[in-house]
Amino acid sequence: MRIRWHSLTLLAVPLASALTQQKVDIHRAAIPTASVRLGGALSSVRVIGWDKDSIALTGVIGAGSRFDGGAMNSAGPVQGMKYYVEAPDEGALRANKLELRVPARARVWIKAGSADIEASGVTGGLDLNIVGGSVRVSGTPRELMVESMDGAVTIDGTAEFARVKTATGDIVLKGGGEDLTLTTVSGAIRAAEGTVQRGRFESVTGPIIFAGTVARGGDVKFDTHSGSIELRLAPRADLEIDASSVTGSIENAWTRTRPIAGREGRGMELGISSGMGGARVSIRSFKGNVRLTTR
Amino acid sequence: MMHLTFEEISELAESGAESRHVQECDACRTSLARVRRLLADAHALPREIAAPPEVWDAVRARVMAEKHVRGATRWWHNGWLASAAAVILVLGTATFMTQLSRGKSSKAKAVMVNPSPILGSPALFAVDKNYVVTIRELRETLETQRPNLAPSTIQTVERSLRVIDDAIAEARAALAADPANQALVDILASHYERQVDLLQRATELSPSL
Repeated sequence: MRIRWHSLTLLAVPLASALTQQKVDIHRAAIPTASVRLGGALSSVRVIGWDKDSIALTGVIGAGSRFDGGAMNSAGPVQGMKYYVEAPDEGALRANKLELRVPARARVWIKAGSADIEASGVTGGLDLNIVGGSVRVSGTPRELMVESMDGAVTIDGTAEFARVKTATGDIVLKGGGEDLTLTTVSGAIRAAEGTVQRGRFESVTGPIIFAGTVARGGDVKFDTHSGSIELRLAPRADLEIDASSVTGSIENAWTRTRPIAGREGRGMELGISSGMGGARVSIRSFKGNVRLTTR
Repeated sequence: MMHLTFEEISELAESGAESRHVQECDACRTSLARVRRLLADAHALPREIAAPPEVWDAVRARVMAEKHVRGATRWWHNGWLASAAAVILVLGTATFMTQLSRGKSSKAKAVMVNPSPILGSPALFAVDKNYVVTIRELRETLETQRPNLAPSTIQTVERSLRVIDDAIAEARAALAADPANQALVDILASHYERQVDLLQRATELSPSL
């Protein structure tokens, strides 16, 4: 592995007194599974997994912002890097935009306030945490953790393991995964196009729409308090569905099975075994309406 | 100067790496040295310690004694006694929560929406008791961090907490009316889980985020 030192170090020192925008241009050789952490006052971060054993951190830090950090080891290929950005105010924060290129198998951790994070091509791990803004992930990360308060999260691809949580932000999944948990308080969850092995889709008041495929032997759970749950299923999919709503309604336009009145005449319940069974779907709602349709 | 977080210090301690900040900051250098000492001490501990035989004898004796007590007095199966106990427990919780809310500032009250007392079942109490203390502590922690968080973040968190509070209130009322409904127990517990999770996430936010 060749150690490459391009223009670097210039910005691996604190820039507390910077009066003008500072260019970030850091290049280091790295191990394929390097760990990179970025945190603080960032408005935009673009993460790209590439097939090189090196890390490139480039971008611009606004006037008055402070950029600090460095590699965990000073000799040899980088095993871990960590950088932190501080901004004096919102205006300075908005100018702080970074692009991070890492070996595809790297693990990237980003924690920012209101930021737009885009990640693509990373097959290692992504741990992304924002308050507002947005997160957009494409590719096939092995492990994906996203936490957001009101920022929207979009995943376009397949994750082996994913945990996505928002408070009010919407979650869009265009893909699938082996073990997924998507949780929101009042955002909407929309999942389509992919195959899910084990999945949990949970909201308090936000609607949940699932138009994906449950893998053979899979187990997927939907849970809401008052949001609606809509499953758009393939005709004759091999599924065992168990749905219940304490006070909400259940409508089945997917098969001919009719829901029955729930406990003590309130709410509704529905049990369906379609095709060879093979995959389990559980739906639980307190007062949200449940609807099964054919896609 | 901004100090390293505990997580960052732990990483440095485990990796053996140095950082420029630690060289310049006495407080972080001291913390790092303490964590390194702790790690060294922890590594020096034996991997397993066999319990002395008398400990197992004592555990066995105590388990047997508790079995006897449970077998002799299954008090919760006596209808009136169980009801009375449930009422006392719920009233106790209600009193506790009232005292708790009285002790807080009006600003704190805006965040601390406690479950309203509903006289009901042991099932309700059982679910509540698993979460009430944790949620109260997390809300208190969040309250102390409030000045460090952006107003928009506080608003988002409070709005979401109110949404979950409303859901908890509805689930509690339903469970109080239908105490044997296991589905409601599960729903209530899941709402509490979400509240704990949201509060934990909020308390872990960095200053000014």
